[in-house]
Amino acid sequence: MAPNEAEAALAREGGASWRAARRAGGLLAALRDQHLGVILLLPSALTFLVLLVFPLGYGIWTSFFQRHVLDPEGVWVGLGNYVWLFGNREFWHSLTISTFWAGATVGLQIVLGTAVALLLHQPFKGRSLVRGLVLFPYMMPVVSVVLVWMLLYNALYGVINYLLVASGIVGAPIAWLSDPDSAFWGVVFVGVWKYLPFVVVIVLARLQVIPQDLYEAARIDGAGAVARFLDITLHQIKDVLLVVALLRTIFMFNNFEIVFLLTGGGPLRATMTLPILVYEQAFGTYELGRGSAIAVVMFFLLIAVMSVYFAFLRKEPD
Amino acid sequence: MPPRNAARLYPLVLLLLAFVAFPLYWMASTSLKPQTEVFRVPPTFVPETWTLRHYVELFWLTDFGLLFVNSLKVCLVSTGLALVVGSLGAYALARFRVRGKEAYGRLVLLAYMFPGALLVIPLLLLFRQLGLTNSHLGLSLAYLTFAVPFVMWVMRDFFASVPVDLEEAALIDGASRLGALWDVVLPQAVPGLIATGIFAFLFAWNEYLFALILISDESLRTLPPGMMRFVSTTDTNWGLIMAASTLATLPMALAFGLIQRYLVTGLGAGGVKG
Amino acid sequence: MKRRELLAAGLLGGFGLAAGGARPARAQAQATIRFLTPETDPSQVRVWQELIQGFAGVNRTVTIRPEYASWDDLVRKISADLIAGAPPEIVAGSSRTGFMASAARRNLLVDLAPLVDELGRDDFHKPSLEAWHYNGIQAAIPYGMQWPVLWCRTDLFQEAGLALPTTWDEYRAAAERLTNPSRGIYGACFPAGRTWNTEIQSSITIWAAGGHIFDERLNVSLDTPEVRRAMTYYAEMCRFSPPDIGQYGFREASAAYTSGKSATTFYWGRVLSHLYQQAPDLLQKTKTVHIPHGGKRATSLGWDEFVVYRGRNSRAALEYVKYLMQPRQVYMMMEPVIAHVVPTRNSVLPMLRQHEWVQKNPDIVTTLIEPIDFGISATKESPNHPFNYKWDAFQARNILPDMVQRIVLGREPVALAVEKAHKEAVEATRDIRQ
Repeated sequence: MAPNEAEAALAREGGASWRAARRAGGLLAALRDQHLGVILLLPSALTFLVLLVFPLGYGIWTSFFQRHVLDPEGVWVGLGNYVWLFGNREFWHSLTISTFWAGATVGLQIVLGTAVALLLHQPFKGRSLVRGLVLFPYMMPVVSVVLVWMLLYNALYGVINYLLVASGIVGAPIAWLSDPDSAFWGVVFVGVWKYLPFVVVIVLARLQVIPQDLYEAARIDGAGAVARFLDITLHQIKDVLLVVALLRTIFMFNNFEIVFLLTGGGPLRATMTLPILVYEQAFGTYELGRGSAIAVVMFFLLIAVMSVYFAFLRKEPD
Repeated sequence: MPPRNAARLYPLVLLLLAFVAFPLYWMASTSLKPQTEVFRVPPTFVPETWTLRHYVELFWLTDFGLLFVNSLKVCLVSTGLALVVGSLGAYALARFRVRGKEAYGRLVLLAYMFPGALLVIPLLLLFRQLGLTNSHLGLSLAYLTFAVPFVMWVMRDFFASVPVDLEEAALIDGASRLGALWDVVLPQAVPGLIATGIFAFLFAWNEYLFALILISDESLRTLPPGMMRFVSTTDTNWGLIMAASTLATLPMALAFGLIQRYLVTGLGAGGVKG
Repeated sequence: MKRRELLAAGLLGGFGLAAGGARPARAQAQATIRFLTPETDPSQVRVWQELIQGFAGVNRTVTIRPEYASWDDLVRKISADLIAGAPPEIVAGSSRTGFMASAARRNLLVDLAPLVDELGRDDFHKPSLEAWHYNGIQAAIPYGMQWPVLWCRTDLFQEAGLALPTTWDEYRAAAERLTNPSRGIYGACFPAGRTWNTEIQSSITIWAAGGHIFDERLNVSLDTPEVRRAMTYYAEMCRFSPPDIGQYGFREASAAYTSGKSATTFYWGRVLSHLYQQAPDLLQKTKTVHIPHGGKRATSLGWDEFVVYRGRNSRAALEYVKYLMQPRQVYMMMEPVIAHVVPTRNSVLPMLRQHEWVQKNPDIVTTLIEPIDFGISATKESPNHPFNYKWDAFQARNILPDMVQRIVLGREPVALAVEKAHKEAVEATRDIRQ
């Protein structure tokens, strides 16, 4: 039954139950569906209003002030913080870093995640155990992840550098997180490691519902392995991949913890993403107004990406 | 698939395991080495001297136990609240004809994507007015900002997938709408609720920024900022830190192990936050 | 209706649980004092707890709640607390003269002069008291004074036939000889992270070259030959430092030495306790000397201190500070990291000298506890400088660490990097009024 028909049927039945309940004299039951629905939505609406809409409004309001942390009141500067922002090299730099960070982590997650899902889709002994293990990084607390990777990356006694030097791949230890040239990829690797399982599970779930007869038919038509992958597998999972990519892009763009805890945005701002810039402006240089202005710009970027997502949903009704 | 492929698959599987599991192994094994062995080059891949000293220190010398309990409290409260508030809303979105429902559904998704960095400054100012800074309830409420939209989004699909026939039958038998929700729909939705709850718990368990900014009293501190404190400014006791990291991972590992078969529900429908 | 009640009960239960999760209400007469400190080594944390228990034994109406933050995050945390309208009553050991002076200027701090008088002004080290005297008030009571020294591995120096360095040239030559990446040994350990330690070590280098960061009229004076010479030396020495100095702050600089990978490092006395805990074999192979100079001897003078924020509970907070400043308690605070700070109360000094670690390691502790006359405080770079009220704004923008990073990690020419830092500093401090 299509959702709309189901709802229609339910509404009819709901009407019947309303009449029945009315006879029974229950107070709640006397409410019509529309009302009951609204009542059920109220707690969540209240939560959003108090914890999201109001703070958003307050954040926008704060962004019109110059306000030092130690001062209770700010000075109205209108769009001054935004003018400062758009003329500021650090802001554009951070926007670029954030974009590359989201792009690189999501791109790698999608490619590697699909590959791993294809591997785990094959039958082999111990498959369910491996499937379980692959989930581990995802459920590990971010702080634990960061601490472990700090130890692994260490240039003096870290095991990664030891293996690289001992096997002769590099001549001297690499300062993974403290060299501006490698720090970006150092944090990207951790981001991919942590969130890869998510893509694996979703793609795996989708792979399992691809009808096998599609492959049989292709084989009869003489299609090779590559052609079967491109024409059938990829074609079947492409919608899922698009949605996953879009959502993960937003989450990686918003991600504060991983990069902040690993590098604090450094060295030389090589990993200074926008959320870290917000934090730095607000709590490092005490500029609440400027920090809020950056956050507001992030919000409008989010709206833009979400509109793409909604447009996609409209185009491909589920 | 013909099983003859299997032999060719194992090298790839091993590579995958090394990539995924080595950091985990390194975390656990470092926590069992004495500090001098941690610094050794070449490193010992299996601890030469096994010691539980760091775990003893963790509870004897640091307040890890308190941090753990605090985290548990905050995460359980926020997960509980989110499940109640979110499921009611999700049920309404799935089953009722409410004007503006689609727009509201989108708002939920948008709320779910909200950057924490945007919220933290205004929430701090708001909570100060309400006296909710430095309170576990305040932090739990802050976690609702992502937990409620998540629960609503996942459970909406879940409720929609519960067959309406049973509900209709209950209604014809004279049950009220809420009665049908309680008696018929909820029991069907339990696996979904558990999976969703575990994810909501996971996000809260991992959260760092709100926990850092909204709580400053050490007796109320939760695990993520508390653990970062173990990396004190002046010293890095890797054994101790890895022991803390291992223990902090345990609850999630247990929860995931127990409900592995429901996992795809949460992951698949949720888009799932990071 | 029964089910409705059930649902309602469930909801109420949820909220009840939530309320139970909040802080339990305290008895009315109790004053709760928040005590914030960056001294968070587990052994130090234990001492804070013992002191709190000790205080509870003599004063039952005041409850002390400790809060911890790392040095690099401390000011951010105080900022967040101030936005939240609830600064901690006591901040212990922030060592941020500039930030506290800004707070004093905004009338946020309690004048501690009466407490100093009560404790006995004559027992205090006068210059230390003066360093925390702003806008006519005693903004803080310093309890310990400290400066970094150069920690040296005598076995490695002997092996290479080198003497411990006293000048830049000697240090540079020694560091070059001792650096051996294939053995995993580095001759020096110059921090280059965006951290406070980088700021301190680069400041010392500038002073040791005869330069100043601000001149006597508090104008920025970075774009000078002295600063360029200092930064050229700093960049050279980074070549003989571990590869990941781009991240180094306090803990990494200390760990590089205690892990045996660095033949020398700049650090305060705390390394002694780290050696006892983590690398006792290095104790016999360690000696300290004052930081090598480039013409002028210099090191950075800092303090650990108590600051009391104004608020309802200021009086109770003063009681606790008074308790902590008693000689025995001061000694307790110092014990876990003995020789890290020199007490500012003369009556505590004899206890320090009795400590086993101090008695046993004269080669290590002498430079750390014998008085020096070349210590410089960033907020007062010379006797002729007035108190630098611009330092807080300068420090908040990490201008020196950024300059070091541009030179060391970004390979920017020294002259250009110094010129940029100068401009940034002028920009950052232009609007700061006294």
